[in-house]
Amino acid sequence: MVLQQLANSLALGGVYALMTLGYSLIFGVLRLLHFAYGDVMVISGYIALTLLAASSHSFGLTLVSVVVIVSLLGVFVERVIFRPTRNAPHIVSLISSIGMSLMIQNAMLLLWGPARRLFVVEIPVPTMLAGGMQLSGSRILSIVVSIAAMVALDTLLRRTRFGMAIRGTILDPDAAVLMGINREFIVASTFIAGSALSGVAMVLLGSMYGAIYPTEGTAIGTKTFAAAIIGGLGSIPGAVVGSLLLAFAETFSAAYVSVKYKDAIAMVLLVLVLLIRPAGILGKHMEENI
Amino acid sequence: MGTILGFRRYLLWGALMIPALLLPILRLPTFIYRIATLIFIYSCVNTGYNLLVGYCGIISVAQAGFFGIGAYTAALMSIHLHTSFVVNVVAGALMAATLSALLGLPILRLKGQYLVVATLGINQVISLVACNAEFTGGPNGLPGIAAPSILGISIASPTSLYYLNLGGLVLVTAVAALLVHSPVGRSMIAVREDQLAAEAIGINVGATKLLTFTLAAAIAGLAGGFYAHNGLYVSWQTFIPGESFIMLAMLTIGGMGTLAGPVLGTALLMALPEALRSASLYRFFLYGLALSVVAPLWPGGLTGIRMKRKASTATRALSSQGGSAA
Amino acid sequence: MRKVLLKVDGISKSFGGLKALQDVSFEVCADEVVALIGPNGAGKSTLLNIVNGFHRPSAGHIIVDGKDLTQSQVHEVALVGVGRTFQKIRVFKGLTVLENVRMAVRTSVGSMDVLFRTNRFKDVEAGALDRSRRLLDLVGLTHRAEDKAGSLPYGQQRLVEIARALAGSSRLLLLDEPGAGMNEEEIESLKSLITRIRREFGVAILLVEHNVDFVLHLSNRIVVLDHGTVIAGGTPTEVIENPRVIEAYLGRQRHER
Repeated sequence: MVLQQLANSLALGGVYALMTLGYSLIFGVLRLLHFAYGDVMVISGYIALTLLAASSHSFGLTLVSVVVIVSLLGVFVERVIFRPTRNAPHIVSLISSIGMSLMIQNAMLLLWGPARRLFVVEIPVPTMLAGGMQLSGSRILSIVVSIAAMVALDTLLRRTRFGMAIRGTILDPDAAVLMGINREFIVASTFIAGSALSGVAMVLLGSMYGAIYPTEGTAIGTKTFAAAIIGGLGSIPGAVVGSLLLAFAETFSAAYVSVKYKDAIAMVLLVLVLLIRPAGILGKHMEENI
Repeated sequence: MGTILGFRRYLLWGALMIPALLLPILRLPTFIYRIATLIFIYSCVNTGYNLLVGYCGIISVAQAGFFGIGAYTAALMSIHLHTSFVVNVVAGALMAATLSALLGLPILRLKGQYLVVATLGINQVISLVACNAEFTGGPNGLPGIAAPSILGISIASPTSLYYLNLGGLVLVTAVAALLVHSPVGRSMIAVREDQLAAEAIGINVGATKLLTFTLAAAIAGLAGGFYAHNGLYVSWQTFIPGESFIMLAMLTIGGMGTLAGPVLGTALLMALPEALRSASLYRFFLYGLALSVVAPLWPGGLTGIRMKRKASTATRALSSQGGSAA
Repeated sequence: MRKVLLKVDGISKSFGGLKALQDVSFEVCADEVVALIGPNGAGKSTLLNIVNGFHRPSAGHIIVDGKDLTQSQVHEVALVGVGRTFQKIRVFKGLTVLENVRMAVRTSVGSMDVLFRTNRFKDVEAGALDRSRRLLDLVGLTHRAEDKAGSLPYGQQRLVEIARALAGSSRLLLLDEPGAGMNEEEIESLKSLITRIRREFGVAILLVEHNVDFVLHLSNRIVVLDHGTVIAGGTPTEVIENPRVIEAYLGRQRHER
């Protein structure tokens, strides 16, 4: 039984890791909270499902559609919300992205109604039985795809010039500009990369749970924040650590404590971490400059 | 002059109060009074919220959660203990104040963006408990709250509820006004502007932040009690994080850092969709749109637009209090 | 014998494994300007932050006007009578210049007086405003009293900070690189302002500076810090000729080439 929960946690952890990595990248170059991140993910799912509805339920096609849509929306959000408010006090972009979240969630409520909608996708992997565990195809897919995506991201960040430019911008934006890196371009591309990752996560999440609903964005958003902060804001490996921790906590408490409150676990864990070690597990301590 | 707020300010509020007091005499359709009553209640919540965000500069998105704490406390007391309206409302305020003080102690140490996320977590947990727990009635909420009665007189008609909640708003605004124009209010503003510098001129920043956080929650809790005794039913959907976002929208549009701002913003965002009947479905969508657009273009909101050139009216009032200058 | 207002006694500070300060001791008396100089990274700002209360030392004591404030909070230190300006200017940008100074003026009024706006309250408020205006006059910013502090040029913002630091009846003034970012003319008027403040208010002034020329004709005494330890202390003439001081500065320059 424990092994089963562990396997489930891994699958969930993989998905959370993708979401959180996408968010960490975006936060890394923007240094601003993005309240609509989860909602952009979810609406991309809805749009893709609607567009594909009758024609196909292929996993691959759904994946590609969602990723494309979410990347486009990501560019839009970056242009409309974050670029104009970059130099204003933080509260302004915060309020703007909160506004965007409200807008997107309610657009979904208006267009598709409040009820859960089936996320119909053909999963190319069958359910497998191994060592007393039952792994559904979607869960196996989650683990495989998330590992693949993380490897791809790692390669991008460490082996390509583009990736190094991103890391440079995250570490020290001013120095990066001085070295000739085009900040606007990097921010926009990182937004696309981060959004793409969230798109993949959305498809995996939808196929695992079989459903999608308009207010899911809030839960996704808060869990992403939680995982990112727990692992350490701005740290890429931290995002993975935080996500896995969160997934384990959620799965095990759902199995052994109570299903109803599993979403609250993320929050409790988050508040605990914020109090004990605000920089997160792998985060760097950022001292205020007096 | 002998009044608390200064002569000119007094005139303005008086000008607003007279139509407010006379509205019921016009015998308009009942739904107008019901909406106005809700506007009064939410204006209370937002006035408290404004102290925290507008005057003290602490961004929190837990206000709806504390509103809910107050509402549920009042509801439970009314249903199980049959206590009076005043007792329930005060209990609601105290409950919210206590919880916020306990949570605030550790949380207010956090830096800006981390703090926002922590408050989001708080609101999330509150609404989750409200939705799932037995004693809160689960997803179906708590019906059967008794109508308010003061000194034996039952207040059940729309017009009497209107006056009751208007009274509540006047009370809350008066408290806020007194606070803002006092040394404590000055400390809050200094903390907003620059915490380190405020500390260096002798202001106990930690205590100021905790006090403001608790006060904002207490006011929300108080308004929650009013809300429970108004609709006679509470359920968790009214207190989700999304509602905190909407309150933030009302603050942003009405203008933070002024006393009239929250009332204006609340009135606008609640009345306008009703006025444009067909648009009421798109209400939240419009809130969101307004937020996304207003914030970057007019950070000061409606009443705060003047903030661009001169210091806001509130802080100007602080410096001319002594009666000596302009 | 002048009154010792600040006694830095054996202050050491380590951040993790890094020893920022080691056994630093010196005194600042009333009506005296002491400058704390040293090459970059010598620990000057760290020491100032410790005096202020932003950091706790690993060892040693900070005694202000006879009171041991080593473990005190920043606002407690401020209330004893310590005013400060910051390396990165921290005026209240959204408030007017006058309001900035007024914020720091401390008044004691009962809550009943505040609540009912009694005449006593009004008198106290008027007095506070008056004091603020006089301080603005001292730094030469009366004509800018109603302007938002954030709209002022850099040099004038620094003056607002100084006026604000004085407003709290400060007996000890901590100035962190006040001349940074100013042009020649502004620096000259800043020097005479500091001298005026010393004479008129009789405060003790501890000045951290990078620019040695600035402090040479301004200070009564100079303390030189290098790598967290005091390597020299005395009158400006003594310090300037001290071979260790010269080496500390020149040696640094040789390294940087």
